[in-house]
Amino acid sequence: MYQLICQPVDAYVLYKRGAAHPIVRAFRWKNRRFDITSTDLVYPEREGQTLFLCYTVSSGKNQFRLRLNTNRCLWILDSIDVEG
Amino acid sequence: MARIIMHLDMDSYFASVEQQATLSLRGRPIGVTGKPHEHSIIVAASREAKRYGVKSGMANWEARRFCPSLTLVSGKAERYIAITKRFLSILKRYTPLLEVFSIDEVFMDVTQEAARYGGPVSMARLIKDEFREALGRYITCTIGIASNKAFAKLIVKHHKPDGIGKLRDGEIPSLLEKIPVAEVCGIGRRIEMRLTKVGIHTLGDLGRTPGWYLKQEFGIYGLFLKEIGQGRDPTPVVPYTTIASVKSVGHSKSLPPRLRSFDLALLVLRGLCDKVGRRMRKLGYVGRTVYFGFRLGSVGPHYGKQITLPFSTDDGEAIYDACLATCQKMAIHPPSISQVSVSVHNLSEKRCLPAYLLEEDQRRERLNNVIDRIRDRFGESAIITGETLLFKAIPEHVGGFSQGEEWEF
Repeated sequence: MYQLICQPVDAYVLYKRGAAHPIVRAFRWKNRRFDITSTDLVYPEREGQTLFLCYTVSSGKNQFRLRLNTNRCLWILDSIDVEG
Repeated sequence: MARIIMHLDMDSYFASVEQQATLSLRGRPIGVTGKPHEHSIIVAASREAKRYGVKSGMANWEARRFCPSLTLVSGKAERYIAITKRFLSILKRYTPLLEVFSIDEVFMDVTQEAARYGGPVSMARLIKDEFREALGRYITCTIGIASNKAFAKLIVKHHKPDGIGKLRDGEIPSLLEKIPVAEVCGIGRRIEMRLTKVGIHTLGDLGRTPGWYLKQEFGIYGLFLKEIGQGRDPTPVVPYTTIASVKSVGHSKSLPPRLRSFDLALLVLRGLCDKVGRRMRKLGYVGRTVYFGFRLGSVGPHYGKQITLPFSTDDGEAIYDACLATCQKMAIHPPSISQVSVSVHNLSEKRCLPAYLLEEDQRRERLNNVIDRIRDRFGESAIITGETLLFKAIPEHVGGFSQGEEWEF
């Protein structure tokens, strides 16, 4: 089931040396922490002059789409895709 | 020493990227399309959809008839370009002799490097492992290994999906008798028909045909056909660092059935001329010969006209004015147009030409530079002509005008 969220979240991110992009380890939304089990896809997206880094990540059986606004260093939970 | 050529082809590329990105699409038949309406076409079908007979190039309605449970997904160019850039950066570490053949196909000359990785097959395995790690398990590729480009590409077809195929030189003669001519990259339907007419069906037949005959029939291309027929392809791998000279810059657009009037076609032509001008300025070229064409009706004939301007230009409006003047002069007014195309040939580098003398031309150049800077910063649709704005349905129904990023690697 797909659900659009578009809410800012706190993200736990690792800036690893040599990595192409920051690695998201977990994020906190609605007072709940979601640990990332796998990063499925990372790709850039541009809205005007703002560059977003879009992350499709999985936590357990659920998939989340996070967007990093690189201008404002703001993490947004874009959507949730829950299995079943 | 025989060359070792690898051809890497991503499996159901756009569809597998979408499946990697979206959990709910995994394991389901999906088709990546331009716009998910009936008249658009399938750009890429997932493996599950291919099992139902869905193929690239099929109309959406046709694909739905083959597979009623097909999920149509709008293609997202930025995603595919990002993934291509990522896998190219991996491949560049293996060899500098890397030719980017298309967004999902690459040729590599690994003659020097293969031994370092324990042979070409183990090198291919390493590449696939690295891809799985960096791109995800749904984005897979098939690698073909042979002593030339044509056969490396050919062998890939027989090992899809997610495979590695190696063709030894000794195996080529027996293979030539089995492979139909149409399977070779570069032999299209028309050449195939001409070959079939004279009894050439397989590569073996092609190899036995006298070279003088092929040259007489196909010109210089006949000699290439002869080589292929004998299992050879001397074409070198052109490294990505080589800058190919630009011969023409052009764009075309298909129109949906309910938007096929001549007036709309002119508005689309206006947008295409603008795009052509912008690309020419980006590449640093100006051109003198303008070609524009319309496809009449849905499957009708193509009408095209070529104009040579008295001056070289990179201005979209000047290109459009030339097309429009020709349309008016020739009294062209077809009732239904399904495709519009425009291209500029006879190019020269702008820096080799003198600067504009007339104030009007200088003003136009300054205006174009400002428009380019706005678009570079805020996106392609940030500033458009009033004429294009008049017809609000264009950005809504005709895809492509708002896609800013060029397919550059």
